[in-house]
Amino acid sequence: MATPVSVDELGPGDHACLTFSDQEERLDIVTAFVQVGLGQGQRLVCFTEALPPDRLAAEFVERGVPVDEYRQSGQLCVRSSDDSWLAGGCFTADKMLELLGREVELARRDGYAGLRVTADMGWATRPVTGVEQLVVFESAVNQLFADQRVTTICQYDRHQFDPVTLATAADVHPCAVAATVYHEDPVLRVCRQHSPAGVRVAGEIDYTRADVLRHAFAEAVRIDGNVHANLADLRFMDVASAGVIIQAALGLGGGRRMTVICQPLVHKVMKLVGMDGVPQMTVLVVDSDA
Amino acid sequence: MTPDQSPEQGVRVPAMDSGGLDQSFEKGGLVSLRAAVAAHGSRLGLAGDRLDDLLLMAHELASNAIQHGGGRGQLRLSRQEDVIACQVDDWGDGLPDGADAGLHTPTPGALRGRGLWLVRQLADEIEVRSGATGTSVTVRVVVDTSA
Repeated sequence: MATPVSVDELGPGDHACLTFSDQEERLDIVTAFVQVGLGQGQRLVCFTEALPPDRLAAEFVERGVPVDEYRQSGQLCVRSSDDSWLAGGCFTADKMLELLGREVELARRDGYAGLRVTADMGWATRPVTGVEQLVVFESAVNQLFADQRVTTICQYDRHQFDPVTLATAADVHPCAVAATVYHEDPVLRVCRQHSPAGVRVAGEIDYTRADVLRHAFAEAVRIDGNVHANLADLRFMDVASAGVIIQAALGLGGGRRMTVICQPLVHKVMKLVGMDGVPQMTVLVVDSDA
Repeated sequence: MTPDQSPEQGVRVPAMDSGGLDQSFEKGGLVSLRAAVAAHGSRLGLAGDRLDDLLLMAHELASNAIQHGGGRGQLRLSRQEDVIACQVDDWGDGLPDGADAGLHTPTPGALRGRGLWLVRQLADEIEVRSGATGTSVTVRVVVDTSA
């Protein structure tokens, strides 16, 4: 398996594996995948397992992608595994390939610029007949889609699959997609957020990691329009780190804004460090035990 | 001053009652120090917003000691009646502004000198003693017993 790429580097013909352990991160990447595809006039098919179709659609909306009109026009289709590949109660690689082949045909017939497919593979951990054909299917997808304008992300939850299955699944995919991680250790994770674009910081941060924060936000200020600082899972932030975020917000010109989502402790520090004097900044406080 | 001595100007904390904390710290130890302060602060009767205040103050005082006060220090947490005291000592060269450190509002965007200012905003009471042999800051938080 190759080095993971960022979701915005995926293009027609790519069949990527996304192994995740964080729902937020999965939804961020999947939303970005959907958003880019819709923007390019491609058809999108999302197979969902952990969330019912309407919940997944609501997650897209919450992340700033207004999917309702796309669902009505048929450009975006969100289906549960039970209504698609498990219809009839068992899984066969052939049935699945046929289903995908039909989607390719439909997209072509209706004049879409291409087809994007993403699937939560969690159904394969259920007692489903034929699940041993999963790897056969994943391998066949490589051949089927290689010469088509199809882009695929298969999502594997690390908490659901055993390491051997995960490794096998990852090996079958020609590429892997992952979040752009600026820093990760047991206490702190700083990564890029795609939708809405910005930075996600989780855990605890203090002056010892302020350089990571500075780097991540400098990149967001450079490449994003409005910057979204997702600090919802940040339990602790000190004065020095809050200063870095305020500095980044102060650097936003031309009507650009920074939206910060944070817990009460972080909000308090940001206020004390002078957030109220930063017109570019909006803060939404979430419950700390959410 | 050696680490096993209490700074001479510091207030000796009485013997630990239940939930108290007496912990040395140095570079790299802030995460576990914060975890200890949060756990003990909660046992001493703080919750929510006031526990956040204690955690923020303890962190800023300890990080000052690490960054500007000789690289290490001692933190003591105790409760007497309705008052929780958090004392942080270091054996550095003292604060540049002595006991007045952190009195003035930092300029927006300034990256240094905000820690003690924040501590002053959050504490119900603060004592700063600083000299050539070290700094000792004690902050007090009144426990709301009305709830």
